[in-house]
Amino acid sequence: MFDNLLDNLIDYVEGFLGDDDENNTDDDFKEEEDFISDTGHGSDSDDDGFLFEESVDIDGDGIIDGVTTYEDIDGDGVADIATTYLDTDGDGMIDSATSYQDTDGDGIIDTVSVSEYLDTDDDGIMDSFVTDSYYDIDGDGTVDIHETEILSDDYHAVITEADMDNDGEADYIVVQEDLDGDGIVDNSEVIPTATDYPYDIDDITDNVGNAPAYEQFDPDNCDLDDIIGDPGAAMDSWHVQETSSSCAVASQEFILEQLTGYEFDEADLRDFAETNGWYDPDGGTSMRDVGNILEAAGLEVERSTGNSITDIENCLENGGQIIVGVDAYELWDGESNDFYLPGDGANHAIQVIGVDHSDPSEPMVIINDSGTANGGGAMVSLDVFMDAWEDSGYFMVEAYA
Amino acid sequence: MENKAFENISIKKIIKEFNSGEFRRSSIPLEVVSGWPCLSRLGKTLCLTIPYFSRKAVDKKAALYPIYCSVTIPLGNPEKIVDYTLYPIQKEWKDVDYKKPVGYFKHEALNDVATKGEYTALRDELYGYIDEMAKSIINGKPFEQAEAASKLFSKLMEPGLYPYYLRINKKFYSFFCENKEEQ
Amino acid sequence: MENTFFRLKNDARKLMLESGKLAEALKYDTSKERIDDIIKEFDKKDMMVVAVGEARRGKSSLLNALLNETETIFPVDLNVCTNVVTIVRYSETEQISALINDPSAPDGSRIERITRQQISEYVSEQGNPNNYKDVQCLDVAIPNEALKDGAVFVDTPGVGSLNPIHAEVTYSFLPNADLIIFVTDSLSGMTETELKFLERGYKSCPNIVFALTKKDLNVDYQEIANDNKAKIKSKISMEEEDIKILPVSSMAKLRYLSKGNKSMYKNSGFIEFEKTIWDTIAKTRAKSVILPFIVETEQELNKISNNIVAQHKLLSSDKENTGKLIEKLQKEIDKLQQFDDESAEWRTRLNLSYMDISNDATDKIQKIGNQTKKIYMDASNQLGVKICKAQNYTQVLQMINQYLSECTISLRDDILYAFAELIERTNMSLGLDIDIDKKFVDRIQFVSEDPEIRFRKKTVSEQVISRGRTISLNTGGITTITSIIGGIAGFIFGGGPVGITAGTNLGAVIGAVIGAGNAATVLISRHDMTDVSAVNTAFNQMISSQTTSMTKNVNRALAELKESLISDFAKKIRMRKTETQQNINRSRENINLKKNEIPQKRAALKEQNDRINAQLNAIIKMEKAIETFSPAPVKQIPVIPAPRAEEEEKKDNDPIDYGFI
Repeated sequence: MFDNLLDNLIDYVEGFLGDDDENNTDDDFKEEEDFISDTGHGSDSDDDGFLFEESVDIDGDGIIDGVTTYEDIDGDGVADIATTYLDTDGDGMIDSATSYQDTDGDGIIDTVSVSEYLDTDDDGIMDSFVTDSYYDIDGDGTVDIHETEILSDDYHAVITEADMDNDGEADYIVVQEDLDGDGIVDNSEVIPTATDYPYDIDDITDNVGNAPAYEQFDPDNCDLDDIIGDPGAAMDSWHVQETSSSCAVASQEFILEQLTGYEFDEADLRDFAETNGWYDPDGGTSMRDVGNILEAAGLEVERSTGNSITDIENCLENGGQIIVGVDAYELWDGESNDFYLPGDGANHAIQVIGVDHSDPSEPMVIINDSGTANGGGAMVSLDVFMDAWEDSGYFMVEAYA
Repeated sequence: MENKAFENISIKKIIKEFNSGEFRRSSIPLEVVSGWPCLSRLGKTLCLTIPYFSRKAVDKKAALYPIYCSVTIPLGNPEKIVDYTLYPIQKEWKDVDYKKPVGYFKHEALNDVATKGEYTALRDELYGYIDEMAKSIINGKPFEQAEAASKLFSKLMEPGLYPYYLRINKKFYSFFCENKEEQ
Repeated sequence: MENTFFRLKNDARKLMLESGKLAEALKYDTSKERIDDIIKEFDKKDMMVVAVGEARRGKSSLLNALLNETETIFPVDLNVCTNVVTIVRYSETEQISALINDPSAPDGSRIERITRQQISEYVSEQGNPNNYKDVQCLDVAIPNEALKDGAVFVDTPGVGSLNPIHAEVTYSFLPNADLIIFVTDSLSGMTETELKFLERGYKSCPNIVFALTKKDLNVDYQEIANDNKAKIKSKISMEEEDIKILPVSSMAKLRYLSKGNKSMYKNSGFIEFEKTIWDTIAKTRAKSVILPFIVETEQELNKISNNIVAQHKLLSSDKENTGKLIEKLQKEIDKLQQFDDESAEWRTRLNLSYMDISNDATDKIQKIGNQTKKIYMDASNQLGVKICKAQNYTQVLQMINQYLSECTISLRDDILYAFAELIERTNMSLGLDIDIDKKFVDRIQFVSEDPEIRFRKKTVSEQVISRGRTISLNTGGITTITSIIGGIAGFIFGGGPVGITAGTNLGAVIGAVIGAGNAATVLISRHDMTDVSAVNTAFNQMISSQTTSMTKNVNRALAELKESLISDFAKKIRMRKTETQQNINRSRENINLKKNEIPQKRAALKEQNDRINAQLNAIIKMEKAIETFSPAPVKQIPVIPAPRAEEEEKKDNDPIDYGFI
């Protein structure tokens, strides 16, 4: 088993992608007496290129998780690189390696590398090999450069972040990508970083909160006679929009999926819209262009303003799907009075998927809102909805199959 | 002869109508909202410039993004567009990253404004001052409320967006908000 | 030395001194004070002559010969090769200092005093290989007659064929030059590298004179000269008659100096050479370096003249109108009092404008930094792994330096323009360039009893002055606009201390001039260029730190400039007040004159007027002389085109200035 471990290790180092030939079982690891460990510092007694190895039990549960090797690069008898290989998920295969280097031989570790085999698309197969390296270039004991290398079958990228002045903020970030695997960098960007934003650069999905005024529509707990539309089904297509400016694209995506039965990728639709001039990643979609994606897909689309809730209900009853323009914050905050924002106008597109009349005195409008975490099948009172809708002049896009 | 057409001018109304109009619907993304307008002259025509920016609220705090575009319309003829500028493609704005917020709302000066109602009232007041500015200029009279207007403008102006407003019309915005610089 | 330039300079200085004495004699003390200030500023301006060219072409020998130094300053042994900028200027006692980069020092550098013998240990490849001693520049101050009038000679590292980094160091220094001496020898024609450097250098300083050394070693030197001329003409856009190639023999001149052999001197070619240098400088630099000072002196004299006119008119006018004039003058004083106030609005506005300029500069530098990084990344991507080779990354370094230099020059121009505008605006708002309201005076009935008095008409140059071309007079502050012209590029690169030796502005500017190449090589060579990411890191680090130090230095220079501007203006205001008070006093005197005292007073005024006119005529003559030099491209502070005219037009249509529209 330890032999096997070492074999894995060598394979791993030499060529790692998709290497799942060795199949070690957990039992193999548990047997301690099968351990082999070289002894003796200062010489490579078994001539495998390593000074010596020792087994490692990371979590102290008595089960060996991996092995640490020490290499002597410059042959002076003192180890320069220590690398720990681990089988983190216990499936018998090495999937991560962490190494510490003293590159300039001054006795101080100045490079740390952590490599992991990752299954990035959750299909059970390891597809990427990611290495994070940390360098202390100026020897002051703090990390100056952090480099991430991502290697997979058809993609190779190196992302370098530097923080030379140790203020905790990246001075710059360099991204280099080899998109077609030919070994040549196809895309490289230097991203100057600015300062104290607590939020991620672009990924809205990390930073979307819940709309406080939203209630959740529960399809299992309602009387279908009171519901106009088929919100239960429509809810399934919902997801949070992928960028901060793509609410209209996301809403059209939901409708596309519901009316055609096919799955679509928001990113593809964004690209399509951008090529046609309907979508600007820095700005968004203009109201008149909402629905263009649907038309391009062959759906029948009508746009109008000055609509009423009856118009919405009629459309839903006829099997149509609806996107409206609203002031998002009036919707999200409902009737609360202590939150306000600068700027005038509607600023968000959402899908209206149903109207719930179970309480005749307070009809609820059911929506798919790509802009909040709890926006799938969310419910707001009709009054709140109408207030929010007013800001767009009661603008509505209807789509039919 | 006083210009009667401007007697009952309401810039707030002009902006609202513009925002519901054809041009805004067809050429300005729905994700952006209109910000503080400014006045400028095109020859003898007094014009209004409306800047647009996007904002994103997360848990009672809103991230503000750089000004995206602006449209300029004559006050006396608000359906005519005399200028539409898309900033991400302007040479001088190439350094701006629209994916990053430039500030957060609300800012310190608004700490004493607790409710939506109060905020809306202050905004209406500022729009009112701009109305008075327009009237003064049309009638060739001095704008007497400059000091009060400056005070209010400085209070309401979002510090994160201020540099971008300056890029659009330095003279106007710095005149009213200039003590922002010293903050 | 037959030196047209310094002759002109000395003549100008004499004129200015005389004017000051005249003002004193006529009891216009504030004018005298001001003229003294003008002269002080004038004396500060030195002419910087920079020698460029490959070593072994005889550059250092040439400089030694020019300076008449038999005990050499510039190291001339066969194997010696300069790698550090060396500046030689006048001082009564000899003092040689090396400015050394020292991160532990408060300003980032320290000064080491050395002897003449030690010079080659600091500035040559042999004594200081790869400039491991991290010398930023060498400042040599000697009691050399050739430098006494204010000439500064500069020796530079080579132009590239032996070591590309040297070229960068030299190139970055060029914006400070008033004249370049491009040195090649009579043994072989100009090489491609030299021509390339010439092309680059011409952009920074278009005033170039070519020295063809070692003419004693090749009888056919004229052929080489002609050949070079053709090559030069194909590289830069100089008129054929402006390309001056002077064959010289430094050996001959040095032999003359040690042995006194006059014919050696004649044959050395140095007589023509030196004349050409100073003629060229006179032609190209006199306008921007001498003329403004003379024009300011003229302005002072005009003020006196105006005053004499006014007094004369007062003698013939009635009490009531005179009273009105005095009232007006009194109001003027009150207004000035307001300006004099510490919290005066003009100070606030100046501070705000300065902040604008400073923020703008910082933004621009940031942009420059980002763009430079982009340029670097493009180059890096193109080269791929090849960038790890020294010759490749050195080339990239050159490219980046070129870009940085160009941006810096453009940035400097922007800043100068902005400051010129700021000065103009402040001047206007303070009404500092209006003397007495001439219109008001004209309205007073003037009855001339003595037709012999002629009052001078204003010349065109006066109108030029009033457009804001005034130089900022420094009341002891650290930097002024005049010394920043051409110098600010130096401030921006590298960042030495302000003032390598106390008291010499020029030293301050030069001390801060470091070739970007220098700083860059040091940074780059600290990294092991083992792979692309190491190279990327090194470059990005260098660009970031260049940007940071650029920002720091520009902002520091701007802040100093602003402070000196403010103190200048404050001083001007105070002087105006004194002056106006004096005018009031004089007017009062005239009112109270008894009838029978008037003719005497009138005669006295006529005499004063004559003296002033005579002096003014002499000045105008000199101005004309300078202006008639054929206009070579001269670096000027741009003159703001007639804002006043615009203002007046606006005043007719729009009486209200809203301030926000």
